[in-house]
Parts: sequence; structure tokens; C-alpha cells
Amino acid sequence: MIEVKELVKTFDGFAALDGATLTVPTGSIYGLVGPNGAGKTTLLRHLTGVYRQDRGAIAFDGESVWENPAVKTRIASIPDDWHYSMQSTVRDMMALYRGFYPQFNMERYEKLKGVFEIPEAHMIRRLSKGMQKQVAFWLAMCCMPEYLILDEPVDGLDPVMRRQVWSLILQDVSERGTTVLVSSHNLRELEDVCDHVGIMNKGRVLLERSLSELQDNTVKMQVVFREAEAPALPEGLHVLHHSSTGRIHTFILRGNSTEIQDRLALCDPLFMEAVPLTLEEIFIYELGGADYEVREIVL
Amino acid sequence: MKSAKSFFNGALLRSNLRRFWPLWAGYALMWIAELPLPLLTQFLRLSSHDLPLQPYEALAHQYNMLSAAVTGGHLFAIVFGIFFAMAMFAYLTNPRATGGLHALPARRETLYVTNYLTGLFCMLSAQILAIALTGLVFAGTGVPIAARTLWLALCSGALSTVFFYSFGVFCVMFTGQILAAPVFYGILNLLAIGVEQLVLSFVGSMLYGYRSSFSARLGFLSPPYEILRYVHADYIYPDIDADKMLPTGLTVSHLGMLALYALAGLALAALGLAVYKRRHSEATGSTVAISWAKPIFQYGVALCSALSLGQLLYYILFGQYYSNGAHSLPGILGCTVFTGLLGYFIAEMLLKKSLHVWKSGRLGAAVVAVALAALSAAPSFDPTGFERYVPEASQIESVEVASSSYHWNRATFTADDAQALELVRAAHRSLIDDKARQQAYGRLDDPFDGDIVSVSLTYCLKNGREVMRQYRLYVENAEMHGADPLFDAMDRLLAEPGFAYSRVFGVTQSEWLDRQPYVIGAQLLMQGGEWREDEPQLTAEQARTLCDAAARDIEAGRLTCKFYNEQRSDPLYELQIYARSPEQPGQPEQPGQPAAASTVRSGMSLCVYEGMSETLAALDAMELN
Repeated sequence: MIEVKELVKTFDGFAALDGATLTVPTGSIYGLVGPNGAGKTTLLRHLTGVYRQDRGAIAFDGESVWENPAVKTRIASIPDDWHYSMQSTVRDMMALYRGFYPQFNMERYEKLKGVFEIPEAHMIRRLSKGMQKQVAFWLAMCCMPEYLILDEPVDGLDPVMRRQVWSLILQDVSERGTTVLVSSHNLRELEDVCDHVGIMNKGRVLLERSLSELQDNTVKMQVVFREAEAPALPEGLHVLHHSSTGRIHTFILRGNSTEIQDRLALCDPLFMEAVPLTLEEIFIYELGGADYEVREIVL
Repeated sequence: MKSAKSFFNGALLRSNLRRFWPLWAGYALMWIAELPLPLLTQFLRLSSHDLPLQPYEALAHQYNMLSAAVTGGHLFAIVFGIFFAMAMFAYLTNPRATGGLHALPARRETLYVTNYLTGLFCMLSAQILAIALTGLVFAGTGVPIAARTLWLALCSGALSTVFFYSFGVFCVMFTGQILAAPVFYGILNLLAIGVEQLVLSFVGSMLYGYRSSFSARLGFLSPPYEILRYVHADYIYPDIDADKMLPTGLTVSHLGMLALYALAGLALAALGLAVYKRRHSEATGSTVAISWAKPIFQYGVALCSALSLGQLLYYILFGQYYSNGAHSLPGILGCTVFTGLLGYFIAEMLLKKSLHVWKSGRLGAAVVAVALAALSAAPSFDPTGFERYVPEASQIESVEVASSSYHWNRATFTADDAQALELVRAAHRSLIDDKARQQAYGRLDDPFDGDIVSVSLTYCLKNGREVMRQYRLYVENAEMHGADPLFDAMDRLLAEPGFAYSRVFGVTQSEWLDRQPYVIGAQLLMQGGEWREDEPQLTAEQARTLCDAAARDIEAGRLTCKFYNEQRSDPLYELQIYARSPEQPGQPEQPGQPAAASTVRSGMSLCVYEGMSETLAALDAMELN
């Protein structure tokens, strides 16, 4: 389990992390989402032992990651800007990783060679961005990590390779119980693979839940009232967003679906239906409450 | 559970070697081009002459090799020390690389020590290879070489490498900008002597009587200066009373000092590790990566800028029109404060990576301006009493007076008896009292009609201290007709026979007395004011006769030195005097024969001036007049 508590990190007076707290259960795939500049990458760099926090704590199964190779050998990470040395080939980087990760699996390396089909003797810098990403996955998967920290992992990969990569990760999660923390802006994709989601904004984790909890806790209601205008809603309903098209009113509400429908029924609507919310909608409406929303701009 | 500390990772070492082999190979080739290759070509040409090699020739070849290895080793270490340090720790100047390396399961110690050792291995292995090839060249061509010579060459190069490479690594730890590393390294290597020189010249421009005396007291803090100055190949000579003066072996001077530098290098490497452990990954890209070093950098740049650029600007605008400690205080204040602030804000821009630094830097700028103004103005008021200080007679061991002017050549005189010391002190006091007039001359832009006399005084005090003063005195023709306390005091001082000995023999009176018994010949260089092309040799007897006659002329007061001379006083005759060293056995003297070609030159000359009647008569007698 990864536990992050009240993490604070400032750069020249700017708080990139401002008390971020999150928990990633063992064996879960945790999607970390948030607007640009929310602090996701900074958080991931702390989790991989690159940055040292000003305050707060990070623990992998209770152990600190900072300057702790014993913990770091259990972690493989693929940052957004994966590093390779200018002159190195895939084989060179494999040798380097093999020297640092005692459990590096050569058998898996040979098997994955057939999956990625990248010539080992090619200099990595001559490969395309997508192929470089594939190399990063190839090597990370061979490290046999217990924790996989991914920052925009499939960015640059073609659709087939995206599926391939996710399939490999999911296979590792199911067979080896790997814990995956993934930061991405591709919410549609995360929705398919994640079982837990955390939403970050301004250096803090606004909320984190299992995806099913999150979807259960936010409801999209389409309602037609007897009057064109929506009546005053009953007390206790937490409306995140309201819009209307003709006489159809769309409400995004926080709470249990059944309870919300029971309360709305008090308004005697002509029609009322609960529609499932996508992760993208949850993201947009949750952050709308945190003063981050799509603004109507007239150019 | 925390893992046990590991200081080395073989995979990283191999990865580094794979990456940096071109640099490694290039460095090895440079060493080969420095040592074995030129020796090989030289020895092959020698072997074609088919002449047997004399022992001293073999030693000379070894000396040349050792000299090239030692001096070349220093220069290679100075230049490539920082290159290898930059290469091994280049990842600290690239955010992606920093993240990549620091995310690997290794402690900072492991990364640091492995990278440090990789660079050291590359540098030392190239050196070892070159020295081994050198040994093979000697052996292969039949030129004998002592294993000790090769060992000395290796030791010297290795010690130099350890220091400069470690210092380079230490400097790299403080920056996140690849190009800042060599700048820091270069400046820090020469900072001590540079600042000393700048401070001395700054203070000297404001004090009357100040004599520049670069002592390099802090030279040990400028390792290239100190190492290149002291550590070099040397011959070992037998004891002085041995039969011959040929060297018997080779050594490297001050190798112990170099070893101390190498130890200091290792200490710096350890400090570098401590700095690296505290360094934040996000500092990559910053000019100064360590927060506590930022103010040192910023105020240091301001001070150095004020001392260097400030003085340059002051000289261009004001200084070139002043001498003798006369100066423009507003000019100095303006130039130093302006250039100091310029340096301060440039440093602020580098630290903040922004041009908009006025707001963030104005408080510090105010501190810099006030501090620089105070420091710049202080010497002008001479708070230590430097200008008026004349050592008490009881404190003085001896004092050397040197004087020269446009009208007469440099002459020196060392006073150590009470009467002569009092003359010097009286002249010194007169020089001090004349400050206002001399400084006024120093400001004149008009053409000057007269002579400019330079007087320098070096007091050796009984407590071991040295007090040095130098005055540039303007003697205007129009002023010479009235009585003047300064001119009187100087004339009394210059009437000391010691000055005359110096003018005639080019050495002090005591040196003349020491060498006079060993005179074994002379060579006539000038006759009747004209240089002789044939430069005829004189016998020992002739040389001694002339020297004795000159000494009698001096003692009889026929050659006087005056502070003021309306015309230039050039010698009519000039002879080079040969004398053998008292310790040197040399060849037995042959009466009536010129001095042997192997005679040691004495450093003495004989200048014959108008009025030296006995000497001129002796020259007549030798038919040289």
C-alpha cells in the first residue's frame, strides 16, 4: 500500500504540493487525475524518490522511499519524460536496469522482445517517441515491480500498442498483485482500467474513492417539471451543476441515486431519469465546485 | 527496512564507460602525443646517428621526459579535470537525466562515488598507459631509464589529477548549469591570487608611497599557480665539494606539497558528496544549486566586479591622469559602486533566471552599495597611518634604497649602520612631507620640464617584517635653483659611496667586496660611448687593475650621485667582469691569458663615468682610451 500524508513541496515560494494526502491500496490501479499544474507529476516524483518533500510523509508498506534502495527496487516508474543516455541502445539500458534491479527478469525481457519488436541494437534516441515509450515499458515490466508509477504512460502510443500495454499491466496486476498508480488526462482510458481514482487540484487531493463509489456518489438526473422553470428543490440536495435544454433540466448531484430520486419526486416532475456519469463528467463537475470549470468565452 | 549502504554500482560504471569512451580515448591519445610519441620519433632519429649515448645525455632524455610528464600532467589535469567532472555529473544539469538517475534504486552515495571513480579511472588509466608506453619506448630504443623516473612521472601526474578532478567534481556539485561549472572552476582556482592582486592595486592607487608587492600569501588557495610554480622536474646534484657538477639523478620538486593537494582533493570529494546529498533534484538548471551558496555567489560577484571592473572603469575615466597616490575619491566611489551593483544584479538575474530583478534585489543592492562605498573610501583616509609611517631606527635591521631617473641608471644602496639609517629615515620623512607637491605634479596634464626620479625603500625590520615604499618624484628644472629640504635630504643620501659602487659595478658594495678577489677577466663592451662589435677580452691582471682604479675613484669621491642632474649621465666605458665562483674549483688561472670560455659570469660590470680619472688613466695605459 502506498500512503501519502500531508505532503508539502514548495518551489521558490510556490506550493506545488500543499498537504496532498492519498492512499493507494495494494493490488489496485489508481488513476490520479487533475488539471494542468495540479501537482500530479510533482507527487509522482516524490513517490519515485526523485524529490524530497518539505513536510509530510510517503510510505510504501510503511517504509519511506527517500534514499531507500530496498523500497526503490520494488518500484518501476515511467515518467512523462523517460531518461535514456544519448548514445545508448535498448540493450545498454537493459544492462543498466539489470545492474540496479536484482529481480530483473531476462526471460520476460526476451518474451517482450517479440511483443514490442524494437531492434535492440538501435540507439534509443533514433527511435520515435512512441517506440521510446515502448522501450520504457519493456524495461519497466522486466524489473518485476511491485509498484508501477506511470505518468501519462500511453501518451504517444498507437491504439493497438495502447491496448497491448494496458493488457500487460492488467495481467501483472492480476497475476502478481502489482499496485499501479497512473496519472493521465485520458479519463476515458482510465475509466476502463482504474478501480480507484484521486482528483488533484492546487497541490491537494480533493477526493479519492473507488471508481464505483465515485460513480455511485454522483448522479446525473434529467428531469421535466410541470412548469418550464425548475421549482425550488427540496432541502438537502447537493447540486454540483444545473443546465436546461427546453423543458429538460439536467442536474449533477452528489449523493445516493435512490435518495436523490426520492427527494426530487417531492417536486412532482412529469419525467425523471438517472443517467450514468462518465469519469470525465465527474472530473469536470467536481473541479467545477473547486472553482475550475469550463467558462463560456465569447471571442 | 533500510538497505545497507553501498558506495559502488558496477552497472553504472560500465554504462558510464560505454557513454564516455570517446572522451577517455581522446585523453589517452593526448597523453600519448605528449610523452611516448615524441620520444619515439626523437630516439629513432638519434639511433640513425649511430653514436653511443653518453650518461649525461641519457639523463637529459629522462629529464625531458619527466619534465614533460610533470608539467604536462599539471596542465592536462587542470584542463581535463573539469571536463571529466562535467561529463560524469552532466546528469545534474538536465532535469530528465536527474530524474532518471535519481529514480533508480540507489542511494546518492552510490551514484556519486561510482561516477567519481569512473572519471578518476578514465584519467588515471590514460596516464598509466602513456607512462607504460614511455617505458617501452625507452626500452625498445635502448635508451636507459630508471624505474624511479617513470614512477615519479606517474606519481606527479596522478596526484595532480586527483586534486584537480576532485576540485572539478566539487565545483559541479554547486551548479545545475553545465556551462557554469567551468566558470566556477576557473574562477575558484585563481580567486585567491586574483583578489589579492586586485586589492593591492586598488589600495595602492590611493596611498602615497605605496609599492606594489604581490606576495601571493594566499597562493596556496590558487592551486594552478602554486603547483605550476613549485612542482617541476629537477636534477639531483652531488654535494658541492664533489669533483664534478654533473647531475646524478632526477627528482620532482615539492612532490610532498602535491601530495597534500591530492589529500585536499580527496577531502573536497568527500565534501562534494555531502553537498550532493543535500542538493535537491529540482535544482537542476539553476546557476547555483545549493541554497546557502546563493548569497555567497551573489555578493562575491558584486565584490569581484567592483574590484576588477570598477578599477578598470576608474582607470579609463580618471586613474590614468593620476599618480603617486593622488586620486579622485568621487570617481573611485562611483566606479566601484556602479560596477558592484552591476555584478550584483547580473548575479540576481542568473539566480532568478529573469531580467526583472529590481524588486527582489533592491534591498541587497542597497547593502552592496553602502558596503562598497565604505570599503572604497576607507583607504583614501589612510586609517592605518600607512603614508606617514617611518620605522624607528631601533626597529630596523637594514634598509635597501634603490633609485633611478631618466638622467641616471638604477643604483642601489643598503644601509645598516646608524648614520646611514638616519640618512635614509631623514630622506624618507622629507619624501612624506613632500606629498602635497608630488601629488599635485601627479595630476598635471601639461608637459613636464625636468626629471622624474624613482625612489624605493625596503626596510628589513628586526622582527622579520618588511616595510616597502616607492615614490615617483617630479623634479622640475625651474625649482632647482632654490633650497629645498627634499632635495637636500636626497643629495645627502645619494652621496653615500654605496650608490657609486652600485652605479659603477652594478652590484652592491658588499657584493663587490665579496667577488673582487675572484675576478679572472673582463670584456670591453663599450668604448668612448660607442658599443664595440668585437668586444675584446681583457686579462685577469687588466681586469683587476681597472676594478681597483674604479674603487679608488669612488672612495676618493670622484663619482658623485646627485638627486638632480640637468643632463643624462651615461658611462663612457662599459666592461663585463668575469669572476669565478668561490665554491667552484675551475681551471687554474693562466697569467697573461684571457679568461677561459667556461668562466662563470659574475653579474658584475664596470661602468666608467666622466671624472673617474684613475680608471680613465688605467684605460689609457692599456691603450683602450
